[in-house]
Amino acid sequence: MSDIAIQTQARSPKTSDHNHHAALLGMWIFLATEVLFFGGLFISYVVYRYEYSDAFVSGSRQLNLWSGGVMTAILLLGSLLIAVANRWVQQQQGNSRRAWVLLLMTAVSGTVFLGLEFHEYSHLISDGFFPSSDFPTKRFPAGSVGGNTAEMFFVLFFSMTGLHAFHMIVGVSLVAVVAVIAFRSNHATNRATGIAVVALYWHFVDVIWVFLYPLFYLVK
Amino acid sequence: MFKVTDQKSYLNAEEGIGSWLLTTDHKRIAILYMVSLTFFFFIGGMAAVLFRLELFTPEGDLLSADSYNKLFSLHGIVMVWFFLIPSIPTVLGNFLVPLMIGARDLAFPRLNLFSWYLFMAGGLFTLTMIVVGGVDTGWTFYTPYSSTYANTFVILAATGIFISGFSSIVTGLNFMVTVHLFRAPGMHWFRLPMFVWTIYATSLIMVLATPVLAVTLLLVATERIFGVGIFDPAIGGDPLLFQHLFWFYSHPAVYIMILPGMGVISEIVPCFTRKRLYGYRFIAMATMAIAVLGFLVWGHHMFVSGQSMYAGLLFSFLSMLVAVPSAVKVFNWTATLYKGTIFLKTPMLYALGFIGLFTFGGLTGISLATLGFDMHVHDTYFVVAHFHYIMVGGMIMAYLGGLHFWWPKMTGRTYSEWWGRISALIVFGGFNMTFFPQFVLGYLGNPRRYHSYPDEFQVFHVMSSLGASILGVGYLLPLVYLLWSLKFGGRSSHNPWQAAGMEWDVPSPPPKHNFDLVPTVDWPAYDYAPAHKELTIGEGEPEPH
Amino acid sequence: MNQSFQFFPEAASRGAVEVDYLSFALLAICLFFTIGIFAAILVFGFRYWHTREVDRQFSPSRRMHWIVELTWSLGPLAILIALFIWGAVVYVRIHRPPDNPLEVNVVAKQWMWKIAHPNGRREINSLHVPTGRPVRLTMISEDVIHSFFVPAFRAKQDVLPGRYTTIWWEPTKPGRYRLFCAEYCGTSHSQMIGEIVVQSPEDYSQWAAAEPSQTLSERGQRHVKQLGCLKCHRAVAGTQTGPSLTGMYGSSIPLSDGTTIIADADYVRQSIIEPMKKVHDGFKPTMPSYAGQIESEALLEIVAYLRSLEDVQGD
Repeated sequence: MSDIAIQTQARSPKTSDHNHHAALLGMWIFLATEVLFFGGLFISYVVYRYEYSDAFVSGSRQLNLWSGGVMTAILLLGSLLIAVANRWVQQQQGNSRRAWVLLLMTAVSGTVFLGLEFHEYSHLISDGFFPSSDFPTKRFPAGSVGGNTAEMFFVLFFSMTGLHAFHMIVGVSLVAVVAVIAFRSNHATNRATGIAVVALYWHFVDVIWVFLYPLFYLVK
Repeated sequence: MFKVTDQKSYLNAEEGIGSWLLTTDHKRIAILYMVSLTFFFFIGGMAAVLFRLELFTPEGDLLSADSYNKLFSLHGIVMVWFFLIPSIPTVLGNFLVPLMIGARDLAFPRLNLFSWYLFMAGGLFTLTMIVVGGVDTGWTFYTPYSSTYANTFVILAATGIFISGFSSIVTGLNFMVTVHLFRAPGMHWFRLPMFVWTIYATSLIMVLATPVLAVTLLLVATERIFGVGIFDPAIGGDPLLFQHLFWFYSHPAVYIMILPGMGVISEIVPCFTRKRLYGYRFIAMATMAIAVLGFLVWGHHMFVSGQSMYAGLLFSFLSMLVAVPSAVKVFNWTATLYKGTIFLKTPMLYALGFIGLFTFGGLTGISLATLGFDMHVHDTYFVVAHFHYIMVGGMIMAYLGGLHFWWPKMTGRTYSEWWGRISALIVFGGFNMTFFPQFVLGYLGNPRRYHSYPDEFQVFHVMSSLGASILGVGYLLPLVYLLWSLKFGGRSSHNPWQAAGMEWDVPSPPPKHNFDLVPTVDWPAYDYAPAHKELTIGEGEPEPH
Repeated sequence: MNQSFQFFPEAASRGAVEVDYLSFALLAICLFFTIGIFAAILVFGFRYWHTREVDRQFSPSRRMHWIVELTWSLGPLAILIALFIWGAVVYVRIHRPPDNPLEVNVVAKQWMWKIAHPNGRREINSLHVPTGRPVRLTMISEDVIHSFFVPAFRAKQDVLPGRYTTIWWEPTKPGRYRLFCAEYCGTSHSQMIGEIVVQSPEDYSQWAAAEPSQTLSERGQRHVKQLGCLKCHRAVAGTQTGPSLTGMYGSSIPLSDGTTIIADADYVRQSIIEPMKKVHDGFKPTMPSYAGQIESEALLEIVAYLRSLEDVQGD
């Protein structure tokens, strides 16, 4: 056995930097998980879109293109705001404490997005498009299986956007938390890691929507 | 050099049940996992004992068909998700990875504790649902049976698996970040013990495959709740899509189960041959190759499912490729014995048993990947025998080997070597007697999951059931003498096996913060000097300090 | 059926023997490597036992190391590729449709096999087949996934809901053999069993004629009339709303999206259940779906009827 050479200098001076890296890497790995999580649904979407393309077109017509567009814009705005907030905090530009205002606005934009989405849901549900045994298959051109496959479109729509909405709710809560921490804290380092990690997550949830929007709203 | 001072070990640094349930110490969390996994293992084992008893006779006379179906489902669900998948990573991985790489803890200690709670929540939830209501879909949850026809507690059982899946993801994430960022200075990748490599590869699979299972179970639950869903043929859904998604997770999950076992073997063999691991870099690369290729072979579970002929050809070919890195490992372990100084202590018995049984299990796996052969034995006892050779003959042997190897480190106590060897031999014998006849049964055509079977198969079923009772004894023995050792075992020195590796440089049991000073590594892995014959490997006699 | 203890299953079809050859090769490979590894462990364990005085100097050159590693990577790879090819040959042969088979229909449900022979005789949980002629099963499930497994023929095929799957073999040895459901299908999975009775061609035709009834294609023709299919699918060229049914089966159909498809059983079924999905080029997509209006057996009888028109030239 060789002897162990002992490093005398302590590890502590660079610990906080180390933890910052660890948190970011952890979030990146978590996002890889998320990609595969949504991946299962995207694969299902591709399979059935290929099988029943006409049903997807007629299903897509029931969605509100403009509402979806506005939602997309709002979400992207939120991403911009949190990116700027993150930059202020990381580079400690100006009065980085003011980042809490941007974070709050991000949370608000997320909430508006969710409001619009649930508004759309309630419309679709009152029209009977929520998948169930009395789905109004007759209202769709007799695509295949007498319009039944339009139901598949809505199963996928509600599963995928619903799962995304769940992520949005988590995201809004996280942003709200880091906003409060940023407001209270005087030391930039205390909040830098939290904001960077939450911003990553927020961007990811945004990117998912950027895929969902054309897949459901822009089917031709 | 590491003086045994009066400093307290992680075991007695704090007292009381609360100090255990709220601990963030990776070593204590490993112990928490060990206790919970032992519990789940014996639950799953009990189910196996019951249905093996039923299979003593061809008629379904002891249990009703329904109870039989629920029991094999319970056995599969509990063993796969609540024992095999977490086993080595959460127990040995949690305990050893920080010690092996020279870290004070995992990257996210609180997350580590959280994942134990997730695991327990999911496990106990599923177990309650299975015991109260029962699930009869098998562990594979094939649609449309699981989504439409089964009248059992499918959603609730799936919920528990869903929750514990996140425990798996969080654990994997934690290991990956730890191995990337928390290695001691000088501990570069090719100085890592092979065990760390395998845990890293396993974590990669956990992080990338588990979410697909999660979303698949979510879709099955949606389908049951709302009556319509993705796999429902009534609205044009495809039941085969479920199989694709399920096996996209579950085939890599097989490698989650076996890779860490390979890691353990790669630690034990060099120690008891007093020699460096032969072909270190090749084994490391083979490990990563298995992790990656494992994602590309899921379709070999579906050769007779009705997928296209070309898909069958492609998946068969890819499955052949994944056998190469496994073969490389077996050859390298065997080559490590060459010109070594061989000691046959309990862990080494388990390790050699692993090599033999894994080889046979792997070769029968190649047979199954051979298309023409699979048409006949698919979904028969041949498949059951094959994966038990990998999972039980491979993984559980490795787990027990690892437990015996590091037991002195984890507890500071030594167990009876004599009992250790006896039970290793009983496990090996009982295992082969249980599962070898099942290969014959499978080729004769006995389908799996059969509650009753034709008379001509009885001889093999009786052999298998008798073997299972021997195997059961083999598993109970370590439980007894290892627990015994906690109270009556001798004190272990810091390095009873005179093994290389940083975990052996700290006291047994290690202090709470592992290292007083983080070492700088300037030696390769498996730094075993060629030993002389006088060298004895300790039975636990404390070394003078 | 051999009720006594056996070590090796009977082989009763031409394909079964091929699978057995492959199995012997696989067994030989399994034993060779397993025994090799065990032997190596024993020999090394004995020779390098820690108390023995032997030369333990071991420092292979880098080149030697690479040669060794490459040998035991590429060697097994070659064996594996050979096995893949052999297995694939057997598999592809099973997937290639046979010449002039006896077409038998199978409907699976929890927990029974319902079987219909071309001359109309039906049976449950047993299947009579003649020797010397390929027998092809066209199978569908009414509920969950099942799997049709005959160990003596060394082949199985899953039976899916909503889609036909087929399997064929050529029985060679008269006798009674086991039929199993191999895909777990619920409570009485292990009761979803039956027997295969392989007979000489004479015995089979005698058996099949014992219960005279309408043939499957006659029944199919009746369904086609009752459902009014011929209102659109008339055989007179130029006046049809839908394509002619005569000579359609087995032909290559041009589809409206520009692709073509061979009109097999599955295409016929899909065109009746989901008519809009693959529309014959040149015809308007106006056909209504008959989903839920035709029983599984009747649909297979229609397929049998159309198959009987396969070689008839349109008039």
